[in-house]
Amino acid sequence: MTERVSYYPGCSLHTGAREYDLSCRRVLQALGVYCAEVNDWNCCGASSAHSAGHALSLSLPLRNLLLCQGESERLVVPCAACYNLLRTTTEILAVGTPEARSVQEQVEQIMGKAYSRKVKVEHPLDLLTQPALLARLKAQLCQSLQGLKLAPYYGCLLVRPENIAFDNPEQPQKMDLLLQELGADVVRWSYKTECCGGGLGITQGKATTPLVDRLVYEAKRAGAEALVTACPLCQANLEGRQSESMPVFYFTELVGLALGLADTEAWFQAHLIDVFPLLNQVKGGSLRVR
Amino acid sequence: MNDVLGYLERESKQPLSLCYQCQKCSGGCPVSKLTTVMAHQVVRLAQQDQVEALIAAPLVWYCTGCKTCQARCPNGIDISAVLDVLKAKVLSEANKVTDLASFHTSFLNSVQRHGRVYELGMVVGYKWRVKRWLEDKELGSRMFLKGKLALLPHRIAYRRQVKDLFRLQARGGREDD
Repeated sequence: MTERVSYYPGCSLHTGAREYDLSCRRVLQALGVYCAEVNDWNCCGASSAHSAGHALSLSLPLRNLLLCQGESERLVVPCAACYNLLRTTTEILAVGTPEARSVQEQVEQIMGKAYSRKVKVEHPLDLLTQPALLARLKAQLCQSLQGLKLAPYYGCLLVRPENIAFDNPEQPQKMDLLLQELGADVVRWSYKTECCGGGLGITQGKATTPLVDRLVYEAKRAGAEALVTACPLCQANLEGRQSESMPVFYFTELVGLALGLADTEAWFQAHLIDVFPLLNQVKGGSLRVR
Repeated sequence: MNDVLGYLERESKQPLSLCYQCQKCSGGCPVSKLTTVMAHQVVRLAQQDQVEALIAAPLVWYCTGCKTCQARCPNGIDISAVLDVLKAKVLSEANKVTDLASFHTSFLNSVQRHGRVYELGMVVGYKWRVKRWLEDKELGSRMFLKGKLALLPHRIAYRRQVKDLFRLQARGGREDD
């Protein structure tokens, strides 16, 4: 059974977070979900559009929603920031304040297309933990990640604000559950929704290091050997700004590893912090990285 | 500007008058330690109509948008939305654009030109503007060697549409009082 969904990678997944893009598509495909990239998608505006004013923070995401219409109206968005903005836009347009309606009308005019309100923005973490896909995933697992001690890190944009969250905002569980299904040893810790510094990683690197080091310290204190994220900015900050060398995975990479997919090695090679020493010691070196 | 509180409440759609300074926002704020004016003090300054102090507050640019303040506020106030209004105000007045503000200018210029962010160009543009050319060169070269920084921009086909979206922003205009 193959289902086709629309897929919005966002700018990061085409450059710095290529391994997240590749692993996400490959994992979903292995489970019968084909990702069709939105044709001619534009930047969602990230943290800069809402800094510059309200209209731009709606119009940039809305163009992408309009581009999905006529294709699959299930829009899968792996980047936590893009997910947050696109989903927020659907929520704001659903309420339809006069201001939002005016922006909507103007964008519709530019695009020559009316907004149907039917596009549903989804995150792959949510998708993979829904019963149907999770059952398919469990049936296809080919090696357990037992012995890999992981701290699931959700960050901010998947869980806040509450109206776009698909998990509990203060104590999210879905990544914990998913990683447990893969056989990994998931640690309990209290920092899973603390901020990594976000965009400050680009503008004020020195200010980001203490925030990231705290997360690494707390993960280690809880017994973890690696962090797991669902956000390219979190991953870049955690890898690039920490003072130690704790590996930081995307959750989709680990799903791909447990499924025994063929390209995992290439994903792992893209990391700034070498993940192979850790992977090679798990289960006495019997974990297969293809 | 006289009614700063009213202006910020209207533009940000946040009920700032309800704030009774419980300070939960600043307690959860990841950048409280880095700034002189903390989240709860932003609301206090607004209530006192102190616009100059607000615009000068580093928190405006240090806020990561993590929305912990909103999640913990008993009155549902999202301080980051208030800071966004202040940012937009500064960004609309070219002479006030500071170092951290110019990041957004670099970012949005890149989106306006290509339809997507050209990260290498955007970062170089930003470091140029703030005259910190050599900062992060070590991290930058590690990223480059791992293929994490594309040399050339990814351009979309209908760049005209995105340019129109930016114009729409300008036409919508913000009231200035």
